[in-house]
Amino acid sequence: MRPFPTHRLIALLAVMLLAFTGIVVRLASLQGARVQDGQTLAQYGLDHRLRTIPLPAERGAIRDRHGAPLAISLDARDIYADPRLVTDPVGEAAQIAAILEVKPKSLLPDLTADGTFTYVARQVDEDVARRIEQLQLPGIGFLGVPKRYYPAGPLAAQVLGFVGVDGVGLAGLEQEWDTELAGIPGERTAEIAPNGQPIAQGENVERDPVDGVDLVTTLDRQIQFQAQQALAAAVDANHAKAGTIVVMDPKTGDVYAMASVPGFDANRFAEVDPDVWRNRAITDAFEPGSVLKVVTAAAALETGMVSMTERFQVPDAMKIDEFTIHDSHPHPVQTMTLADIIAQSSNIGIAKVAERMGGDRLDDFLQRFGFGADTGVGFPGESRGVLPALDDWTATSVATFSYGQGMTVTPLQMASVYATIANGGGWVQPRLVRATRLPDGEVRTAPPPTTRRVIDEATADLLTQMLALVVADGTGTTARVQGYQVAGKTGTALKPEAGGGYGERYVASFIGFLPASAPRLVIAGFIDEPTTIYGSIAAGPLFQQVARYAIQRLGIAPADEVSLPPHLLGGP
Amino acid sequence: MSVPARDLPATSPEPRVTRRAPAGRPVTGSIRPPAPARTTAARPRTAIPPQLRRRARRGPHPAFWLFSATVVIAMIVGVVALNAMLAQTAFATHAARADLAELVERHEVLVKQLATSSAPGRLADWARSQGMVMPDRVAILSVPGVARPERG
Repeated sequence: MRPFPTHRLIALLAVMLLAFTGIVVRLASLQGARVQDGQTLAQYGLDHRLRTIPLPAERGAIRDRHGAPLAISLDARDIYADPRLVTDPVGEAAQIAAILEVKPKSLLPDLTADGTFTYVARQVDEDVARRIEQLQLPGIGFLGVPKRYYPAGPLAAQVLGFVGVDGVGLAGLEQEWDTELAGIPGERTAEIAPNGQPIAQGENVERDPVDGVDLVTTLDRQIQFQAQQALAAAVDANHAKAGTIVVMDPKTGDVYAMASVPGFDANRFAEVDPDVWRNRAITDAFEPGSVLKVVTAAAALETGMVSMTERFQVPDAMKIDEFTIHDSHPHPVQTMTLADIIAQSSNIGIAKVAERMGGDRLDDFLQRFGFGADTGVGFPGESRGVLPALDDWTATSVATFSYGQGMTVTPLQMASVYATIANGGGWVQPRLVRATRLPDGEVRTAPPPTTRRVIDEATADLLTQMLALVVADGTGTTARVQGYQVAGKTGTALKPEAGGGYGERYVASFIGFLPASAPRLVIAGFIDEPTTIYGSIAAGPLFQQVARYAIQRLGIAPADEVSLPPHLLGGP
Repeated sequence: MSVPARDLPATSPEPRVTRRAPAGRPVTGSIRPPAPARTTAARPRTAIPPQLRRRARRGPHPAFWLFSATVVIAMIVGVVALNAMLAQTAFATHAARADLAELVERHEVLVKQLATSSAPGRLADWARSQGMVMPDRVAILSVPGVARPERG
């Protein structure tokens, strides 16, 4: 009998234990070993298996004051190609082009390019993408992406702005409110096997996206449309270069409409000259001309330097230093009250008033009305205009500033001046956004606009009377609206030339409000380089047309008329 | 330590109990290697008490087989049924997802259509095509007893 191999068994067990221990030690060593950036091999391996997939948040809509959509987000798809897998580039290009309604030649370079990825089309509508998907073309793939859509096309395009293909707001409210509109994207982190399949029981962490908020603007899309149409017609009728209009509520500062011509379709913003992207009402500054005379008159009345009954001898020209300033048309020396000066839009008359006040007082009131400062409306690229520091004023500054030449303002600043008068002397910050609506439906109303008193109510009343005289029997008769008393002022401003001085280019304007005694609406219209230079002819009818529609839309009832101020010219 | 069978005393007072494995092969309680046939032939036979012999010969009760078969069949049927249910649910989920995707797409199309159709420009075009025109004056109805608005 052979003895039982106890020793050999023990030796075998020992060898196996040693081998197992070796494996365990090596395993621990590998798991804990640091490979790069302080990472252990285990972490390194996990990182290679983990895939983080972004979960896009839905961009909030932009709506008008009644909730009507002005900008919405839709699901779309990018169509891409892996040219290596495209078997018949010409045939595939023809099939895709037929659905996309483009020329096959335009797609061919994408399908024959070097590399593994080229975009064939971006942000294609779902139904169109689905039709291409059904073709089962080799080498063609699809990526789900959001697409911004502006249902009314060119409506308020300069105000709304637009969004790039990467979903970032590039202009207008889309840019100003980009963070709030975009929301917070989520992500899903999962362990993925080399074959691309998720590993069961592996890491799978998901963070839900937070959708962006809806923006409720102060715009009324019906008034916006009518204002835009009327402005385009006015620009066309006057063979003008451009035009701008602002319609606002003087009490709340809500902007009902804001438009610039030429405009563009925000759905196709890339196809137009970037010059037309500008919201001229806010970003462009120009010399306002006679519409600014009301500020000089306000300063004169508020400081008590001029009374309503005082009479001025007004020639048609006046020499200041070595310069001579003129009225818009020749006339003999006339006796005028302050109301006449405003109603007849006399440059010489208002310059005389300003000279009596002095530069410091005029400068003070120009600043009080907000010139040279942001309105705070909340819009990218807002211009402050140029109001030179008092120390930089020249000998003619007091005279020329008094009738709106030599300094620049934005249309919105000018509209705010008339809103201040309409509002009884209180300046109200204009605003474009009245509320935000969270994804859960909660509506957060925007804080009330800031206000400040600029002039006394009594002064505002006198200014209103003078502006009513302008429309009743002055230069602004073309802006009358039957059944309503309108208070407003015409403007014809010379445009400075690039090389200095002034040429023969003008900006014609009319700014007014109604009903004069209980204002509900301020409308400021500007026509850039019209063939007919006078504001009364170029911009008065624009005011009239927009006012007529807005009265119906807002249900504005006529109010008692204000009495007309003491005046010597014109009718009774 | 095991002891060879041949070293056993011929008249062991306590006979070794042989258990029958389920396959019917005898297994002894020791781990000794199987003894040569000649040794077995030489070994004196021992008497097994009747009650032990009966127990060794008797197989599992038929009820046990029935129960086992029932359990196994039930498990198989259950597993198959569960699998079928899962597959069916997967199909239903897939179909529901497809429906959802289609409905979402349809909803988006409708949202887009509604937004586009209700745009002021479209409405104005439609109104014009119907022969409507913008009024060139505002008509005001005065209601007796209703005061006109005042400033402020």
